[in-house]
Amino acid sequence: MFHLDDGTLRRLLDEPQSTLSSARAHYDQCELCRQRAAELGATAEAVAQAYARAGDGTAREATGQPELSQALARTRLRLNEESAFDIGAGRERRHRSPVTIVLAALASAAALVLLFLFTPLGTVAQGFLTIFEPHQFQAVAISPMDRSSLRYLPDLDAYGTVRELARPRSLLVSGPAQAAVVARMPLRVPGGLPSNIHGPVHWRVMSPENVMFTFSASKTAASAAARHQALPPMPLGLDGSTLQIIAGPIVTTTFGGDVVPSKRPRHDSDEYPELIIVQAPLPRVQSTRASVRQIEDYVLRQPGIPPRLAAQIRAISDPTSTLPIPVPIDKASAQQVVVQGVRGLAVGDNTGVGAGVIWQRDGYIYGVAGPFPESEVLIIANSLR
Amino acid sequence: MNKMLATERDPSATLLTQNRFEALFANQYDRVVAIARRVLLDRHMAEDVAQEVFAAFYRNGHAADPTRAARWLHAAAVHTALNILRANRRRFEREAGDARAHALLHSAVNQANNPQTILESREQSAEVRAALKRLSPKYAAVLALRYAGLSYVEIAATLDTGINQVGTILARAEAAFKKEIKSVSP
Repeated sequence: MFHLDDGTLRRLLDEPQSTLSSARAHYDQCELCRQRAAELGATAEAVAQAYARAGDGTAREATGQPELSQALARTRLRLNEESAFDIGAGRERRHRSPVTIVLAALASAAALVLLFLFTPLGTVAQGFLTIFEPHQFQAVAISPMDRSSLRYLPDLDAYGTVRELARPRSLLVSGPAQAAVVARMPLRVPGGLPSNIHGPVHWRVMSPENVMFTFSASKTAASAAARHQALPPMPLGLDGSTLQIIAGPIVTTTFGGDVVPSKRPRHDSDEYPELIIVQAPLPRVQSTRASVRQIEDYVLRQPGIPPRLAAQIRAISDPTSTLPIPVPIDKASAQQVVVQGVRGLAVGDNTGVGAGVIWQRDGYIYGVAGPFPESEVLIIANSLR
Repeated sequence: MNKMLATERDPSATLLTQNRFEALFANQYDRVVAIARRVLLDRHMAEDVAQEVFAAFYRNGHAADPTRAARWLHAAAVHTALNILRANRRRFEREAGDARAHALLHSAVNQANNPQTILESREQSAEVRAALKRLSPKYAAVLALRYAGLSYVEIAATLDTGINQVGTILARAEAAFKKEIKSVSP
């Protein structure tokens, strides 16, 4: 007498109506097949229970319409490679507006300090210790001579290996609601705006940055030799140490002009933003071994670092939570201010044409800049809700 | 595929293609997430897999025929999830941790959960992942597809195998999984 194979018995348990009637008839009459089916059923039940105990794999899965729309929006963000933008890139220096100059002063914090201390980083590796999370901002004066001196510093590649695991991409979204969904963070909008802001509003979300940097003493020595340059030896504690930066997403809101050109040079006819608001989670820097002080000591000993600048950075009392903001002393000035009830840093250009303010609150960094006096920028900043 | 690429030069056809993509997304998103969840045991990671799969589908300009599209999406979901599971255990755990931390930060729903329950669930999830990882890819795939709710006909199409083979593969996969789960349980 033939018996049903395991495959047929297994399908009988799940889809009895889809199995052949002859197989069902045999099953009804065959005690051995029913016993085997019971064994297979018990095994299937054990698998189902394992999934059920794991919880997350078997929870209710119907996605509501709002969540589905959010998922579609996030998928579109992935698809939006073509419109990757470059916020703050100095490609169009000749046409900078006062706002751009102020923003450049704010953003050059990243250019100077992040370049050497915190650079791009990324993912991976257990055992990272958080060594830097900016909770306050401190102006660092940069003179024109300092700037020209810094231009001769070696690239970061000379000190180790940079691995960019996720390139930030920018997506133009419809408004704050979609931006909040795509960025997965709460967003603030200004309560009131100066009457002379008329232009269109653009909301953009820049996806998170994900890069890793590993110091290498041998690579540093080799690149120094290739450049016929004497670099200070890398301390043992730094060699092989890996940094990871977790930054973004960054949400920008621009009024009266978009923030950057999309893969094309900016033309004179392009509108410059009348106001820019930037919101982002606090960036975080982690290290497998090296401390901020160790990195700082090494970087500040590099040839080309102006002694006055090095002294200013060394004077920062808590380097693990203070982000130095380089301020070009010939173009702008900076002062500590109170904004949204916390301490922030205001930077204004020396002609009084534009100003910007940066602060952090509840785990997020905020920046507001525009062609207004500092007092007006502060009013806008304080109106964010 | 050539036909689709050709029609995309026509703006109205592009709109139609996008509409079709949205319709497909609406119809298949839950399915794709469910399949990935049966492998990764983590909702947020499964949602990331779904995004990756749909984005790849759109970029590659696959046919919008619903049956073929669904088959492609299901296969891509299970293989992408299995690749993540097998690629790097430490990386998986870190990403899962990040996703959970993100969820804890941004979802008030999680605040209602009992920490002990969450901990136990995480341990069970790790055991299921470990067991799946030790199975052959075919067995892990058939389990993920079946326990995500796919029919035998759909599983056969996704795995490109005969309908009569599905029950056999599933029964063997379940037996192997049960054995593995016993070996990884404390």
